[in-house]
Amino acid sequence: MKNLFTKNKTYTFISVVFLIILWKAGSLMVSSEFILPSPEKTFFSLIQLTTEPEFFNTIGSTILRGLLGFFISFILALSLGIFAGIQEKFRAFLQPLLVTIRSTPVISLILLALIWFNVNQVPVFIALLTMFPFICTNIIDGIRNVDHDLIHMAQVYRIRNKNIIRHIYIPAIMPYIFSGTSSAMGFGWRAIIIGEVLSQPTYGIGTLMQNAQTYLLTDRLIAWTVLAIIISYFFDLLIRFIEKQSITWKQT
Amino acid sequence: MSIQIVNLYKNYNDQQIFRDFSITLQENQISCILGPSGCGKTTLLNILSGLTNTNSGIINGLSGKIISYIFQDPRLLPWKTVRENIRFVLPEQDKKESDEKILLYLKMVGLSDFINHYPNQLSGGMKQRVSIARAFIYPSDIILMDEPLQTIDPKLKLSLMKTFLKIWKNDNRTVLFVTHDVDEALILGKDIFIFSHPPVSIKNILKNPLTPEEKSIDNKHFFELKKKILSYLD
Amino acid sequence: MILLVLFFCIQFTSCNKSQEKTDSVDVYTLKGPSAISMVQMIDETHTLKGKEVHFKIKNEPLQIRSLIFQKKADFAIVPTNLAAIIHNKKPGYQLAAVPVWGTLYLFGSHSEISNWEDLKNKRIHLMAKGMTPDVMFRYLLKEHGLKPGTDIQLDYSFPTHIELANAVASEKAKMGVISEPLVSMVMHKNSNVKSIMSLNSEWKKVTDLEIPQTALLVNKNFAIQNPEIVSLFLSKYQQSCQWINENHEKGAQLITKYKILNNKGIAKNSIPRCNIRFEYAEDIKPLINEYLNTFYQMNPNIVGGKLPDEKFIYKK
Repeated sequence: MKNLFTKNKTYTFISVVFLIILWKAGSLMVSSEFILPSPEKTFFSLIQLTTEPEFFNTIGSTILRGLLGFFISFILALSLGIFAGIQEKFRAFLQPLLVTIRSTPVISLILLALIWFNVNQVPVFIALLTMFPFICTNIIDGIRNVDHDLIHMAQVYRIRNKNIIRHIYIPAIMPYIFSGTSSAMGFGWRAIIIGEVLSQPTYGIGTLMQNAQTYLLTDRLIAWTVLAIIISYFFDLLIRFIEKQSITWKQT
Repeated sequence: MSIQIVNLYKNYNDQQIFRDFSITLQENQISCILGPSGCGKTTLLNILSGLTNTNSGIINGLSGKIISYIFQDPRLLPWKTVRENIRFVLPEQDKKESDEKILLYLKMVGLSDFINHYPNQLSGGMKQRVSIARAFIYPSDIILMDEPLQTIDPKLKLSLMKTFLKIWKNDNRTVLFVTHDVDEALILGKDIFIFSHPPVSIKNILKNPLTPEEKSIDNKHFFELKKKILSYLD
Repeated sequence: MILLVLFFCIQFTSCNKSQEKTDSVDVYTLKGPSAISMVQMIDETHTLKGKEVHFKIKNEPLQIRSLIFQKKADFAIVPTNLAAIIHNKKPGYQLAAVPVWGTLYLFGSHSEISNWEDLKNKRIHLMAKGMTPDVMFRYLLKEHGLKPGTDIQLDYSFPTHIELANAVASEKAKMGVISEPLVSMVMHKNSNVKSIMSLNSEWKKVTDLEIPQTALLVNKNFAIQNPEIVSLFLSKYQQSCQWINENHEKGAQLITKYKILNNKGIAKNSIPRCNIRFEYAEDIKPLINEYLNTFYQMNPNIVGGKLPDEKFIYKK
């Protein structure tokens, strides 16, 4: 079992190295530092970025916006989703709203948000609209997939509704919550950054990406992109970690 | 006080299951309803546990009574340990008190070592034993059982039934269980009601004469009674 | 699988290098004063030395920038600092002329502003951070001792011309920096909105020079192969610039004909504010260098990291 694990990690490592080699080859072929800068130059820019004075403000602002959007989405999705999962009528009522938000092109939302909100709120609003329908739909599915035999058992043993929700519904939907959250966060970070690119808040990764683009500083643009990827990946790992800690019963 | 069902009428999906049906279940006794599949046994349990309404009829002896249920499948919450699963049905009680009680009953079903295990670490038979412990710990007056040994390995059925009787002996709660297995009826049941197909009527009532020693498949008396019952069932 | 990926990479890069160009003269200009300056030429010049001339009016400099990278443009109009960035990153286009000078105005519904001091603690809306209007305005703020963030708030929430114009017209933005002809358009929509300052004049007050804001670029290879066409084009453009300044009425007609603006009245009022005056880049080299140097001092990235070299200017 241990051997298999090492083997998989090796392949992942090889893949990453291969991609970097491909990148280097590409940059040599294109031979224009501003169309495709080399990996070394980009890496150097990345290091340089971290030493700039506004670095922590920038990263901090973007992350804060993301987390804010996430928490609001999550709480909204949890409360509405559980209710909609249990109450068929409310679900039918909520459905058009969820479908509409999910289907609207992100850019439309951003352009509208630019009219309605101020620059710092726009990315949060976009993240909210991107993440909420996704998590909510997942939770609704989770609730509907709850084993009704267990609910029946709880009803026969005259367990109070609030305990049924707390001890049956919520633990049952945990896997759905985690998978929904992890996917939604992926979208959410992307939405935050697009929102920032267009609304140009004072501090934000998107703002600096747009700057880099304006001045054709492609290495910086890619460096910020790499940072954005790292942030997204970090939170994904965080969620997986929390999931592992909470759903201990599955591993045994 | 015994449970009396009088003049029960019940339709289900256009089929009349019970038409002017009556039955009396003695208290502090294990009654068994024996019948073919689909003959309304589960419907009767659903009516008694309050899950289904009757079309008309009177039920005496149930008011204010609390009911435990043992299902065909164990129905344990996968994310709770054995201890937590049982405590789940006892929400009001003091933790220390209930912990002692839980340990006691788990000892009786032979699972005290597994008190902190999760259901997915237990076999089917073990899970059903937990379900039995749960039903007994719950402060009920009546235990209903719906083919509780259906999913159990035949080799384990006898030991599970013996375990049940062991606990019940100290307890003497009114028990009603339904099954289509004649062996189960003869080992567990005192009053055995043989049901017909719907509209359900009681074909026969048998007061189980077997002594505990006679309750074995290779016993002559057991075998004769079984033959008799099987003929009633046809 | 690896070979396949590499193959696509090679195809992609070689595709970029050998773009098939049509045998016509492709001119890309920006909707606004630069298109207005060219409008007579657009109306009358259909061929040059036997080659068809195609004029295309684009909304955003970014669109023209990408056409320049694809080498699709023979002539292109871009903001002068963008011309410098392009030259520094991917040389291939030279600055041939400056047809349009400072067209940026601070305007809005705050009528009580009469000097720079009055701008303290106010909120001014600008288009994109890092683009010419933003940089220019911040230079002037610096020269007048106003610090963005502390003394004055700069707001970038309306990232395109149209959005910013609409915001000022609806008074959602009380003050903004925008170019002609949007200034005239908005003032026509909302009579509360006035032109508060001309950045061109303010710049002149501080530096004693005007703003060579907009650049006409010529594709270097095209120029080497067709020097006569280039020379003819430039002289015709010079004529067109003169013509529009002397013929406001007819000019307005053409402006609406080519859908640069849709209202003749606005068009007519806009022409003088467009600051159209054709100068050959070669003739005003020191002025251009002064201008770029001012930006360079503020932030080298604005002109592409370094001051452009000799090869930047097209020699007649």
